[in-house]
Amino acid sequence: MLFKHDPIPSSTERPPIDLTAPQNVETATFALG
Amino acid sequence: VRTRVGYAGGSRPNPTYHSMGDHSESIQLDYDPSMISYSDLLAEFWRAHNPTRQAWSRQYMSAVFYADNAQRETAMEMLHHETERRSKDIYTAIQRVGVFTLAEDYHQKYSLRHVREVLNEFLAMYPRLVDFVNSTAVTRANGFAGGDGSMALLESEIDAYGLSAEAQQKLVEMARRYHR
Repeated sequence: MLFKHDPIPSSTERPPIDLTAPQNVETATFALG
Repeated sequence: VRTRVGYAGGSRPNPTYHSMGDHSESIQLDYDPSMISYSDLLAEFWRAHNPTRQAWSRQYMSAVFYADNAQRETAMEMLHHETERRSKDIYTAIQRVGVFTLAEDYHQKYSLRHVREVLNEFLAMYPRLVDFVNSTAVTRANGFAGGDGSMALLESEIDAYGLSAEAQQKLVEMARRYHR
């Protein structure tokens, strides 16, 4: 169980969806008021 | 694929939330053009806020920050159609993106910050802010935590987020609040 003062242990596991995410992307930028 | 929030459109170097200068609060997204077009994103952008009110400060202005000439032309063309469709003036600035400065960590993936168990597991996987922000799993979980997407879609892909069964349950519970 994690308590507030405990450091978060790092994990080397990467989510499967990140490993297969498309790399050929375009970027869009907006300001929505 | 990914989203991030930050400051864009101004000239002040190194803007922060408390010292934004002439920048605007902005969202930047990486998208797969084979899945969604820039025009579709623009249509969603204009649907998602009211651009017919003039903003009282640059911090809250409506703007499309284009990355290249193709985006600029698409934005200008769609702005014209949007103005005609609404028969109202639209106060959306169309300008070059320039430098986009990532906002502070507590602004990133804001909806997910209300689901501590999920947030903590993702932070353990990605201790560096830039990796956390650029994770597709984190981006999608944040969307569902804020009520976007359907329960069926969440259930179909949640196993790919790398979360424990407990954290998955918390995320489903949060998303379900929006789908009653």
